[in-house]
Amino acid sequence: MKKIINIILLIVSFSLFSCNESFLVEKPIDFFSGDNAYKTLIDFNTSVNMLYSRVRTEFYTLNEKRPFDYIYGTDIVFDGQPSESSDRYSPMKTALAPTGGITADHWKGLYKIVSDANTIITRLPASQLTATQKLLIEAQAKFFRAFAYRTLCYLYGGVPLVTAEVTAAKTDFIRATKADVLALVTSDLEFSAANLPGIASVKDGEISNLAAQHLLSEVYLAAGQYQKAVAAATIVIGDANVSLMQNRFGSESTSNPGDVYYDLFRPGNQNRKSGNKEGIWVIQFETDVNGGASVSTGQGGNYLLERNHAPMIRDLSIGGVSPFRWPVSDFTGGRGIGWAIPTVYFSDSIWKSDFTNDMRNSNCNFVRDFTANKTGTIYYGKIISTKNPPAGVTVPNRAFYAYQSKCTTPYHHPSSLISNAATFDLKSTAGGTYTDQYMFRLAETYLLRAEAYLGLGNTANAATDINVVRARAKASPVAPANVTIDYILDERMRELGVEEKRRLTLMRLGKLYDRVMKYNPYYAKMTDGMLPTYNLWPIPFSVIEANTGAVLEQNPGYNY
Amino acid sequence: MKEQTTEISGTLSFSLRKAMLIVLSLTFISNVLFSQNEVQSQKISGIITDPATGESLTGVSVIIKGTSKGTISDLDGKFTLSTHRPATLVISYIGYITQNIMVTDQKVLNISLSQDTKKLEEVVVVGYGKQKKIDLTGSVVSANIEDFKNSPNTNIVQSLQGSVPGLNVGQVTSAGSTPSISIRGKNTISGNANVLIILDGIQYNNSLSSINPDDIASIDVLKDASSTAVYGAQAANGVLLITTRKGTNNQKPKVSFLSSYTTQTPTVNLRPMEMSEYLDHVRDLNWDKAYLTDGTPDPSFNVVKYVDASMKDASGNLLPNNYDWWKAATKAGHILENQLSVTGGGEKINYLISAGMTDQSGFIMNDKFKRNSLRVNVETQATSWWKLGVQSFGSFVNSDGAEPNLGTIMVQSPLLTPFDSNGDIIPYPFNTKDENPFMTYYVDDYERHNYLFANIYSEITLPFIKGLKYRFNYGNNYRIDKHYYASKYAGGLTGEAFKEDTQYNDYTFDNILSYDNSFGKHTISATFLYGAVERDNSYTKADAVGFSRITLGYNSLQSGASQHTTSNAWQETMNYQMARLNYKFADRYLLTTTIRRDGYSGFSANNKYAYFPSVALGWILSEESFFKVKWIDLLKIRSGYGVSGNQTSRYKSLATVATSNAYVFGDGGTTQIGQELNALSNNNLKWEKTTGLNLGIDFRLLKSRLIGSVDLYKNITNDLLFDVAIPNITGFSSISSNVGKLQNSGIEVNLTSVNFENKKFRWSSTASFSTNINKIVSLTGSGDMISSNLFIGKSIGAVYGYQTNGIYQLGEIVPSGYYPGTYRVVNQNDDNVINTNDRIILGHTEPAYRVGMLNKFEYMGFTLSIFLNSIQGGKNGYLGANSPATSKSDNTIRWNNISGIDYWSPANPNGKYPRFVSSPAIAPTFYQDRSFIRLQDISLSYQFKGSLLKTLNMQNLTLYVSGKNLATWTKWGGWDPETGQGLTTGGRPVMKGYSVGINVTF
Repeated sequence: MKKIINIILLIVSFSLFSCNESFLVEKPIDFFSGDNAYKTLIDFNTSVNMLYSRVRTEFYTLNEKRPFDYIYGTDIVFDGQPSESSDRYSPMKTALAPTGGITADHWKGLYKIVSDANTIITRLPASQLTATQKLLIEAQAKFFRAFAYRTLCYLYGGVPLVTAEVTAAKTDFIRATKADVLALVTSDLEFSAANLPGIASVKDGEISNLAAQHLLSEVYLAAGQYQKAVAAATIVIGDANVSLMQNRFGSESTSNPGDVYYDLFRPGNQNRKSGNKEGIWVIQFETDVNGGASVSTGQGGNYLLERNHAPMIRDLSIGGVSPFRWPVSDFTGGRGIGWAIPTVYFSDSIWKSDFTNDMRNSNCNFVRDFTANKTGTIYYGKIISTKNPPAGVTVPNRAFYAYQSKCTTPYHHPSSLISNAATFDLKSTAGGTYTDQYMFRLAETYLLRAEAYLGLGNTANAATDINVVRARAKASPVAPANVTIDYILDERMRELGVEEKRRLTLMRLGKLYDRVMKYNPYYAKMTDGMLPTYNLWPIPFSVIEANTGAVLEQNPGYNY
Repeated sequence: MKEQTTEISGTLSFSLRKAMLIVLSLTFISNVLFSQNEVQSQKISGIITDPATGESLTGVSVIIKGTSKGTISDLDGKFTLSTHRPATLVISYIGYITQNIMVTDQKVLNISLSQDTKKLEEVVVVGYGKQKKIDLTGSVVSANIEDFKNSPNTNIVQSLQGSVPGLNVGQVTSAGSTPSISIRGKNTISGNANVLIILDGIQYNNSLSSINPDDIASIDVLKDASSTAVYGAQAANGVLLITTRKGTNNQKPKVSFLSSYTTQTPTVNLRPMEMSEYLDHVRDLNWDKAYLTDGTPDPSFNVVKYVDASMKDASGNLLPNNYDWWKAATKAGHILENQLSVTGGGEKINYLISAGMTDQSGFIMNDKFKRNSLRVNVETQATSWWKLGVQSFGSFVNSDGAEPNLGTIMVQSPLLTPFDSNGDIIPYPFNTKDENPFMTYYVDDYERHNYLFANIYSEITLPFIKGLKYRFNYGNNYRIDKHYYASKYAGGLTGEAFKEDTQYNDYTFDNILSYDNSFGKHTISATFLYGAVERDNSYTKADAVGFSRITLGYNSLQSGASQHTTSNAWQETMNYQMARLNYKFADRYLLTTTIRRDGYSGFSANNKYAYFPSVALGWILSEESFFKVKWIDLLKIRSGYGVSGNQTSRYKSLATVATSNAYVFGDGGTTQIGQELNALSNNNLKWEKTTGLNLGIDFRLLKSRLIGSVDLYKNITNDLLFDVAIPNITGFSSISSNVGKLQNSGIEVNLTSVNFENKKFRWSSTASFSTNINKIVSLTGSGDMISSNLFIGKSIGAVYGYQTNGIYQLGEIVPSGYYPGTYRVVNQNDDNVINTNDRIILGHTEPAYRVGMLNKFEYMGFTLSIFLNSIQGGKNGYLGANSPATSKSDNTIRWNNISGIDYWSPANPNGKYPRFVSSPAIAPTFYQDRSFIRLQDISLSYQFKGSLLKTLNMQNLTLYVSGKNLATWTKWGGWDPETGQGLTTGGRPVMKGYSVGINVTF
């Protein structure tokens, strides 16, 4: 009998064993859930960090191609390697098909910034933050939201406006007008400009009130509010903490060849810590540090401007002889593969008036003379120039063309990328541009204000602003009568070159088609090349298709 | 196995050979009658033979009933035994009908032991219990693993391929891997589609490659919802019940040894182009320059000019190589198997001890799989009311060594070589960032998977109530995965090493109360279950990059310049209750009804528990007195209805926040962590529910010459789980939702027939046929969800895309956005543009039907078995994407490709696949029919008989040769139709193999 009682007790105890309700409560043990991750200041700072990361990914590091959509297909470069796939702009009809990857990827990347910012803004009121802390976080989040919407608006026109966190499936988006989008962007930025700290009191790489004012001035231009654009730019220019660099500085201040414009783009020279007062918003790269994006051990993660923009000098052959080793950390362009070849307009036409005196066209900044570096050839040590190329070599060609040295870091690649320290030979995994990048630079602020003055009809003030930039470069001043929007676009090309998100400027102004047809014969003459349609990108078809509850209207000309 | 007492009645209708038995029996009985009072120990001897073959039977157990005394028959089938008189001898042998024979005073007893052809008397495992096959009401099939024993299958599931109707097992392409398994049609779109695997009563989530196929006694497949409902929320995709072997009580130790060797070579001979083909390819990629406008070759075209600089010397001449990279990365593989097992048992205990060793080496270098496994199954009847046992194994898998990078081996140029003149590896042969595929081969790679399993069970016969039993199963799985790696080439040639450790463990604790009893014509069997499961997983990886010396490799990660660590973990819990009632009346009316309640941690907060009921009926028509069809031995009709579920995966309903190393502010700054939401929450997310109706007929005809079953079913899955595409304007591209209703309906037929049989020769066939139609019945919201590829009235494998009509030719007027050499896309709506409105349903990926056919020929100890397997697509079915296309670019000019692809060029205007200079605005995917017939298994074995065995003192000696995947008939071009790999450079071949093997039992 005792046995039986024991058995019954055993069964009962087994049953009790798993009867506990808490047994089935789901507790994530290696990640945060939406419920507990937006409470403290650390939570929100962590969320803001992600916005910086998202911006860097979208504009610099997503892969070897996407970040350069901001310069490909414009008036500044053309394709060194045509028609590989729909990832390239040859033919442009394929690249910009609504079903294609280019426009879909940027849409996704930019809206992710919007949604991350919206999550912060929506969850902020219920958080444990003090009023002051909330204000600062909100100012940061709104800056990024505005930055993303401004980009979306230039690229796609009026896009759907979402201003709060989406918490359930939503499939009935409709497009807002371009004016509505710009209104949200300006109001966000006005809030940010009023509440972000000054540039001297933020960490290197952080956004400040000046970054907000700079962007605000550009957005006012897009909205046609020139007076406000002047005012915003003036706040930036008038700030005592920023100024154009006039003298040599930083990590390579004694290098020869070199000048102050060269110094602006050398490793470690972009942040204020280096003495640079010109950077307004500097995108941060830190090699081989988690979160620093750049790695010396591979190409992924890096900003691959060197790879895209420097020539594929390896393939230059003069009468069957290759005068260059490749890749080498010198002025031959590192490990360039010659994808983004400057248009003749960019490499030659715009420099004509000041070819020798404009610092930005000096050989260390716009490399035309290449010193042959392969020993044992008759060319060793000799200069081979794009200005008078050797017989049988046409310029520009993918292996040989003039390029902007800001895409690379001659003699200063990370040491672990150098396979031979004596000869500066690089490893095959080179191709990244190993330094911080300017998103906004004071020189551009001057050119934005010039554009605003031009919009107001005040060419004199416009010329004055342009000449501040030109004077630093030792270029001759422009006369007020010669200031046109095309002149300003040319000046931006000279001053900013491949640093600029050229596509955004041209699409903001609706001048992409114009300028490409005039200055980029590669696309102008191509079968299925440039069309006025391409002044706006298509809304990605995948988004239209998933938006089953309402119709997202396509931009004109994209019925394919 | 049914016990059959030989007596006068009940034997009259049997065949001649049984008549002999009757005579014998009559003799015995008369002996009993006349000598029943004599009680003394006397010798008795005799020969045991199989009346069907006339051969003597070795190893037959002869036990005196009520004692543990007994013997077994020797190599000539003879036995000798001393016994008191009268006594009953129990004559038993696996696969034969056990006989109880009364002995009185006879000294010689020659016994004919008949094979047990009444297969329906078999017992099948049905989940939390066993049932006689005749009493089944659901669709349950026992797999025929016996006839595939001689096939070189390192994974037990491979031997199920094609032989069980409704059980769909895929093909494998790497050593030791587990093929895909599904039962009936696909019941889910994006929910878990895995079949539930139960090993000795315990849910088994580890890889099936850990299981030694030789340890398996049976595999039973639960197909319909009325059978699977006992497993509730995890059972919608069907259940596979694997039972391991065990010892037999009262059997002296039996030692079995199996050994086999199998070759491994690819079924297809795809290879990269050699030099001259490669140069033609470079020429044709530049067809805009290499051909004149009329399509004839331009004589002035010099292909050397277009070959990549890396393949020329300093003077611009082609390098003098014609290197075969594919050959260098592959070699003939093999499988070596050795199995040793000892089984036996005493009166109160039985045991199995086994050890297995598998060494498989695939066709790709370092595609290796080595498994050592040990198993001990012991069961003891501790007291008259208490039985307990343990099933345990350890399996140790070694997959050391890394393959050359298969994705890029095919694309290396024959003009280049992997090694320089010193024999050192050339890291970047193309002088681009493309790595030498052998860089991943010359590494220090340590990969081990250790599996430990133990299930302790105990069965207690409870007093007072007859037939009441309590049983518990306490099963534990423990898995340790170690992957350690060091490469001096990784990390951009700076060296990289890592250690990756995963630990998984789970426990299952099931309490089962069962009650079995009969009252006159009523037979009742009831089962109650209360159980819980917990699973834990933990993962750690430490990684370092940048080694000045990598000699110490992964054992000195601190030597790396840049170090990273990652760890993660998860946990999930379940608890559940189940009740089942089986009721049988008059041996012909059957009822099964079950209900299960499932709780799962991964269910959303608002839906923690789910209920899954089922009911099934059966009617054995042939037992009815009015049933008088002579040629029908058995006819049974059964019908079942049930609900089973498909769990949401853990954490699926939660909004998750992803954290990452986001940013570094300032030069020399430190890592800043970032976070963002990466999934939307759905508090109402529910499991999928599949309700199924099954109708089946089992029959046995013509004195068991034809046995078969037919099943018809219709399953409807509600609340389909799906990651619905939403506009990424939200920041998310999809949300997990319950979206609609899916229907699967189909027919399954299983037939076994003895086509010819005499004393020397036997020919039998088994055929299986299944067809399934999958259809989306409804979707939440307005209608088709095109962006998710879901169309009402179509299958979930609907192929929606662009129809092509050949390739645009030179000289043709080609629409804007398209170019010669690109596909001519059919303009479906006859407007003037090709756009997304021109997509149509092109077909579907599901096959029309599957059929398998096993033919077995037995002659004088020889057995030849041939198994053909086929999957057929019918019209527009079983489609697979197979769309090689090539366009001119730096890389495509550099890269090699598979030889013999029929690309278009001006010289080959009828080429099947596009080759273009400018990419088209829309590049459609090309789909092709994957239908095939495969000679999957063929085996010839010989079982030695008679004196040789006696000389060697063996019970069994079998030699065999067999072949696997020796021939495949298909129109599919590429690696293999069943894997669906077409003409892609990264594909892997399916292996074919020839085996020789030996099977010895002492």
